[in-house]
Parts: sequence; C-alpha cells; structure tokens
Amino acid sequence: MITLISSDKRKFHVLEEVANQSLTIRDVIEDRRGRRRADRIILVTNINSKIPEKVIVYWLRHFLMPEEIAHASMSHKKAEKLKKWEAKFFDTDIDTLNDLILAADSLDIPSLFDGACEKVSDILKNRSAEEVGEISKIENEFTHEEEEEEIPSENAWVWRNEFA
Amino acid sequence: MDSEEHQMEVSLNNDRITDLPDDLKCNILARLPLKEMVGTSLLSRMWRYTWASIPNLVFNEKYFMSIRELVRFVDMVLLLHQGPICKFNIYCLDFTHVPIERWMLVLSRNEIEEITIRCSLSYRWRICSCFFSIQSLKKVYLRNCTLMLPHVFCGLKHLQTLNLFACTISDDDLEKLYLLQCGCNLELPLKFEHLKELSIQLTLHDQNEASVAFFLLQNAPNVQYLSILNRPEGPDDFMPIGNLWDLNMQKIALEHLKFVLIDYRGSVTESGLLLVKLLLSAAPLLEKVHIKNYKKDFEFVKNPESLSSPVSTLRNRLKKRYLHTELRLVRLIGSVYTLWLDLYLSFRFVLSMNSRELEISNLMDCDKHQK
Repeated sequence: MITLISSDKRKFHVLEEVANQSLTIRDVIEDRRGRRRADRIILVTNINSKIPEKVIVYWLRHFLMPEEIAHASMSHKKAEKLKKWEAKFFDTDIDTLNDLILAADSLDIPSLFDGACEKVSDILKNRSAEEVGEISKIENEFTHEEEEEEIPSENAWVWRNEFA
Repeated sequence: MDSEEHQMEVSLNNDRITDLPDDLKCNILARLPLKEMVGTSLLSRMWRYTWASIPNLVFNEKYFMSIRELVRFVDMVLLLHQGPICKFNIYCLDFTHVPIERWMLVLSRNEIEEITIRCSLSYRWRICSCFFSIQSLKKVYLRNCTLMLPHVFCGLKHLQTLNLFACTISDDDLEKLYLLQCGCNLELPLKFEHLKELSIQLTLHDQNEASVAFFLLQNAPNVQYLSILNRPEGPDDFMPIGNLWDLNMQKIALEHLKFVLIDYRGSVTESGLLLVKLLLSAAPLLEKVHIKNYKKDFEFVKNPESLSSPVSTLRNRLKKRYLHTELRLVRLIGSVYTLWLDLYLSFRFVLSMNSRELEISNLMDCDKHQK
C-alpha cells in the first residue's frame, strides 16, 4: 500500500500494483524499495484532491484488464464497454480536463494523458474563436485593430487562396 | 507582443487552458484539424503564435480541396514555424507532383527525427541528397521513392526504424553499387549503425528494388527485426538477381538479427529461396522465423512428408556456416508445393540439429500437383 498526499493535504491509500500505472510513481517505488513504511508516502504537490480521486478511479478501471489492453487482444464487447466508460469518465468540464492533463503529464500516465487531450481538442473542434474563448474562459485582450485587421491579414493564407 | 504579454495577469481569470505548459498545449493543438489549429491565433495574445511551435506536423490530403492548396499550406506552415520540428508526416495518395524536395531542404535544417511520406503510387519521388544528410533522423517511412545515392554519404547514424514501401534505385546508382561490390575489399563504413527495425516491401525479383534491400542489409549490421513483404509483379527472371545474391553473400553479416518475417504473397520463387538462404548464412543468432505464402483456395495437409520428394535446391546450397543454436521458432504458413516443401525440409534439418521442433501453422496445400 502506498499513500499519495495531494496539495490540500488529503491522503489517498492505493495498492502499489494499481498505482504502478503511473510510470513516475513506479520509478519512485522502485527507488525506495526495501525502506521503511514511512517512505512509501508520495507527495503530489501540484494536484488538488479532486484530481487524485479521478485518477484513482481511472486506475482501478484499467487495473482490471491491464494485460488485455497492452496486447490489444481485448474482446470486441469488452473494448466497447471500456470505450463507453471512458467517454463517460472524460465527459466533464474543461478545467477538470486541464487538471487531468497536468496530472497525467506529471505522473506519466500515457493513456490518461491522450484521452484527456483528445477530449479537450474534441470540445474545441468545429467552433469559432469566440466560442472557444467562451468555453475555455480565455480572455480576448486584443485591441479592435488587432482583431479586425492585423490578425486576419496575418492568417489570410489559411482561409483565402490569395495566389489562386 | 512581448512587452504587453508580460503585463497580463493570467491568474485573475479562470482560464486554465492558457496556463498549461506550452508542450501540453501543443499536444492538444496537434489533435485539431490544421486550419482550426492556425485559427487559435485569434483566441488571445498568449495563443497568437502557439500553433507555430507545435513540433509534430501532420498533413493529410483529406483536409484540402486541391494539390495547390495543400502545397501552399505546407509551404506557409514551414515558413512560419518556429522552434524544432520533430515529426513531419504527409499523406497525399491522390495528388501527384508534390514538391517534397524543397520541404526536405527545410526539414534538413531542423533537428527532424521522424519523417513519413506516403505519396501516390503513380508518382515516383526521387529522394534528393539532402535527405541523406539529415543526421538526426530516427524513424522513416517512405513509399514509392527512388533512392538517389548522394556523392558523399556518411550514413544516417541515429536511424532506428526504417520502412520502405516499393522503393527502388536508379539504374546509374545500381551500376555504382555493383562496382562498389566488385571492388574487392572495399571496406564500407557503418551507415546505419543504430538501425534496429527494418521493414521493406518490394518485388523480390526486381533487380533495382532488391538492390535497395541489399544495400540496406549490408549497411545495417545491428538490425534486430527484419520484415520483408513481397509484391509479386511480373515474371521472375531469376538469373540476374541470382548473381546479385551471390555477390552479396559474403558481405552481409547480421549478427544481431533475431526476428524475421517474410511474406511472399504468392508462390515462393527462386529469388525468394535465396533470400532465406542469405539470411540463414548471415544471421547466427536468429530466434524466430515466420514465413508466409498466402494463397486463397487451400486444402489442409496433415503430413507434408507424404508428398513426393522435391529437388532440394536450398538444402544443397546452404553452407553450414552457423548452427543457429538460438533458433526457437520457425513458423511456416502457406500452401505446399515443390519449393515450399524445400524450405520446410531445410528448416526441419536446421532445427533437428538443435533438437527442436518445427512449428507448422496451417501448412496448406493448394497445388501439390504443380511441378
């Protein structure tokens, strides 16, 4: 059993085998192998408590079928089920997704990282700049001239075929 | 933009996505369609040029109406790009006359690691010399290219994975290679010393295409995984290639080769058998060999030895250079006829010396009467 401590001092006890899905944690455990129990506590300072909960839920779901995922030999039905579960798991607000991306990056969990990035890009896809700005609360501090003239002319090549 | 950018109070609003480190932002951007990716420059000052630094560039023809539009887009992205480019992928199976040469030139000036080029089969791209000077390359996939040997080739020393699909070599260069091989003890420097994975799809009996394979095998002594897929086209005019094999036999040493996959995609031909012979005589540490020759309508044969004894071409020619003590698994999948049975008997012979069994998966017979 190892203990994760989030930035707001909450403790999470996780089975070592489960937490091993994070390559960062696996390395830390490997480094500290054979030491006392007190050393089996890992501080995760850049993550608040809401995220470890989600990460652990994700780990537990994937822990049930690690080998099958690795070898891509999962039955069609199971794969379908996992896909549905992941869709539900990632169906959350963009802030949580951002935190998940950060967590997955620092803990080195490739599948979680990819899933969260994919979801964010799905949210941003097929939307105008204003819509994206609204959803992700990006503050547009461009001046009127910049927005109306400078940037459109800078990027005109993308949308208009000016050489044609 | 710089001075204003620093005055911004990013933490005032809840804009978390802008706060992500740049490399993570690029990861999200790279998943957007290209035009939308550039469109993010309208979001805010922090985003204005973020798209221009994404390290992985993937261009797919499906987002473009015409070849002209695609070419212009790639040109502009390369022009406006800042920072390192790690990966450059282009898929344009429908378009021809893509100016890959000039893009290569730009890429060769960056520390590019991965290049994938899938062009139309009706358009043969000639790989210019600047491609061979990109020392940082680690992974390459090329389809339908003509290799032009540069005058001075120092090798691609960091290349780890190489995938060639129907690549050939020009007649002039073929002559050059022959001269090089005939030139007695001309020691070749290591050209691809880190190449571990090599996949080639070629027409085995096409002299120019086979030479590419020889050239690579000769210069990549550290290959561990080799896959060769045959594209059977035209008749097998065996003789010239036979000479090429014999010339190369002594000069290829694959001392790290462990896994071989050969798919004949049709019947085994003389040149196909010679390939196996070459690999057996050049690779002492082989562990697994998979050989397939798929044909559609087959019939299962339980006891291949009951077939009439074949002319044992391969076994006779096989020099007993190595014992192949590491060889654990040979899997033959396909239909049985003369040359194929020959292969079977040879491998059984090699394995029996190490008291190991030959595994035959679905050894099938469709034309055992053909002779």
